[in-house]
Amino acid sequence: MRLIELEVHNLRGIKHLKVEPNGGNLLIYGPNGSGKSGIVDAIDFLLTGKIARLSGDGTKDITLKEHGAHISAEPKDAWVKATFSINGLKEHIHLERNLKTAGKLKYPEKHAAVLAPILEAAGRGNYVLSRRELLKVITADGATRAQQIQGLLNIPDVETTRKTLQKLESKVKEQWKNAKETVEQSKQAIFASCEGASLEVEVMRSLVNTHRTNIGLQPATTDLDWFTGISVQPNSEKDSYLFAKQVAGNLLKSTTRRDDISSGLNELTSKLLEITNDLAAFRLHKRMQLTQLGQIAVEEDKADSCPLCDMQWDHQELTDYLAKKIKNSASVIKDKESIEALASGLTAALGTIAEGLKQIISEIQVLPELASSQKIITDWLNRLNQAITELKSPIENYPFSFNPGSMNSVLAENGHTALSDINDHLQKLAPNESEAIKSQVFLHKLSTLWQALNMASLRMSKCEKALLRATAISENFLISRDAILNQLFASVNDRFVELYRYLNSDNEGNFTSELRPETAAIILKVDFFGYGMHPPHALHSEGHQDSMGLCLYLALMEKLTEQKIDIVVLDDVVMSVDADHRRLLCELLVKLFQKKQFIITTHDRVWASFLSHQGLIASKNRLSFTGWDVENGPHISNWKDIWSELETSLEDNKVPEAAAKLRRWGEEFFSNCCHNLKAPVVYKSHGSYDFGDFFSPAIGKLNDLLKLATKAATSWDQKDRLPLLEEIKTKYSDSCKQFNIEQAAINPNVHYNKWATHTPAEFRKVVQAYQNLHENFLCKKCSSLLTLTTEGALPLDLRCACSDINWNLKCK
Amino acid sequence: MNFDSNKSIQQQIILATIVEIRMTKLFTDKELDVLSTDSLAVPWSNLESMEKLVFADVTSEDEVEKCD
Repeated sequence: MRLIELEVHNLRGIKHLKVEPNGGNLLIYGPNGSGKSGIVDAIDFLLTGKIARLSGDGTKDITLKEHGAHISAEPKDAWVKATFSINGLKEHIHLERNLKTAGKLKYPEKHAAVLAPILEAAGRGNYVLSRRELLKVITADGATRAQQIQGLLNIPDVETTRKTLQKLESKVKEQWKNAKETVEQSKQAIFASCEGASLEVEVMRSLVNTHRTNIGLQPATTDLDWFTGISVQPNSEKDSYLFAKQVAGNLLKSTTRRDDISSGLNELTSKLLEITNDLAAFRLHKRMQLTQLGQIAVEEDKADSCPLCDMQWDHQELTDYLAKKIKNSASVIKDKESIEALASGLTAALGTIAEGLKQIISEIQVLPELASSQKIITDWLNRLNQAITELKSPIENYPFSFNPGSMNSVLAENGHTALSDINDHLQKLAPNESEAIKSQVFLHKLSTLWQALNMASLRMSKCEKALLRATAISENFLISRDAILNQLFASVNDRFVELYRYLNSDNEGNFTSELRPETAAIILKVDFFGYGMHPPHALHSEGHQDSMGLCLYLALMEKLTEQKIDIVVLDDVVMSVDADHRRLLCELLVKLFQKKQFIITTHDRVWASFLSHQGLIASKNRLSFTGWDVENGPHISNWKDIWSELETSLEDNKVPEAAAKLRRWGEEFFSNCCHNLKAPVVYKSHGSYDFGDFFSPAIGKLNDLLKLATKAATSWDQKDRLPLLEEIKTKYSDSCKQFNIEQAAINPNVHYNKWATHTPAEFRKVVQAYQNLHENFLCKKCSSLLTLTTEGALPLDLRCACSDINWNLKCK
Repeated sequence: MNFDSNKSIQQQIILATIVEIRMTKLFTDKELDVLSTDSLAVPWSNLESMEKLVFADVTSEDEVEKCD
């Protein structure tokens, strides 16, 4: 997608503006405050319906609706229209957006499908870079950088999904735990009502068949037939009392279980006491939990600092340290597991009593005469439930709220007395019945409990399957995310390194970097002159950081906008990059990003001129913003070249001003000529060069190259080229002569700017000499500087960016 | 697994995830279709929808065989 034409009306600082880059690069040059960024805002608004500069830090009270339109205009009168070319489409597409209906982009409906991915990419802002954002990516900590880059990559969606899937897994796991607990409780309820102490199928089948025989039914042949034939519903009060009596009898009889529980509690207490008495071991236990929690927190957040003291760590080092600490605590883990196993057995035994009590309470609650006994066993049940809860995390909950050494505490002697009273009373209400009736009641109750167990098991099985599925989705999402992001980041990192090396080939030709995603952060470390990998802002200069930000952005942008948006907006991004690196940056943009359409704003004339001379910006695509006022917005003129600027100064009789401009321009221009023509400049150890150091080598070198071009054309018998070369050489020679005369005349003043002695008319002759000379170094068609290409030290050709000039320098 | 700039990263991750979970045979083709982003029948970031999906017991023996 390339910008053909842009028209802005009443938006931000712009009153009305129309530019026609026709798909080519566009340069907007002007001083600060001249409204250059208004063009960036307009493109941003058109493609996204938003203006990035009006959002983010420090823009709390700024709204697009209130502050988007030009100061004197209503939102309905503020709009942006543009025509774009789209890859693969013959016709251009016209887009239009009005501030009043900012959320709605007008475009031909038939192109909706083509535009959708482009607008989606534009919405992420991948194509705009301002210096404001540039350093954020570089200097931010891992988590903030992650937000920045995630914003560019549209990864917040991915992060939201990751969190959702993590929540899903936790939620399903919780449901599975609950279902598992229900199964345990159902089993305990059966234990409590059975005389048998095992739920093994053989034992249960034998028990069921004994009772079936008692009521005259055939023994069940399959496990599905256990309760077949028990058609009479034993729902009389008497039957209920009978069942409750059976359960109470079971509980009272189970002295073995009570003894087991008692000795189990003693053993557990003794083990826990060992730990608590040994302070070091107890601390280790406590710290172990903390370490394990810390490990989870560090892993989940991909933290690069200690979650307790915030001390900075490398994430991997911190993870390894915690893993080692946990591994070294193997004996602690063994103790913990032994204690938890013991507590688990106790929980099951106490749970069986609790379930039995629940059944009894449920059956006798209609008997007011047993109210006091019921209260006692209800209290007992509550104490049991509390004990069960505490025993589920024995180390964390020790010392317990109950006294494990006291029978009254958990096993409740008074509870047993109450249970005996209940049993006696029920005996009166349901005197000894026949074995057949007892079996009938038992089987009916057991069928209910068995059904509950089956239901609970089914639920647990369903939860197990759901947990497997949730875990599979969650884990594989992470695996896929890491694979894709690692691949993306590796590729971006490679390109980042390539671009940065290009810009800094003079002293960081072996530069390397590491860019990798971690759960909630993106790590960026860069090599510092072979002295290890460090955060980019730790040791590198601000200029280098700017370079890094730019290179990282270009690498990311290239990857993410491929085949979608060719437009790249660079909004004043080279402020702290020095002149030499700007030259390389310009080369880099020309050579490595040929398919992109750059829209560049700058307040730096030298950089603006340089972009033109290097052939990145065609002369017709240069806009000059000379000022701004509230009434009219930016004062825009066609590109005002240096000669027009000098003339303006001379018309105002400002010779010193014109001289200073000419000197600054000359230094920059001839240094670029020396660079492009590979002209030898005398080295100065202090590194401070001026105009005088550049013009002579540049003039001499071009002279040599034109002579060489003539020699090469002659050797190849290209007689048709010789007249033109002679004409160029003659013109060049005349320019040099004129320049030398003027240069000689003004030379004493060059370094001191003592131009006041010249009249504007006299100085015009100097300017004319400079202008005539400089034209020899440029292509008339593309305005780029002539460049010498070589093969090793051997000159190959002298050419311009558009190849309209292309002199062979290689002789036959 | 190649990075595809024509799809959002979220889409690419979801599609890769579907490839992976297909191999677990825990999901039927029908469910995997529902999970694919193109249909957008199940927003991956919606907890309730995802919970409903993992609990949905539509896995029959036939469909499991189909996954093979």
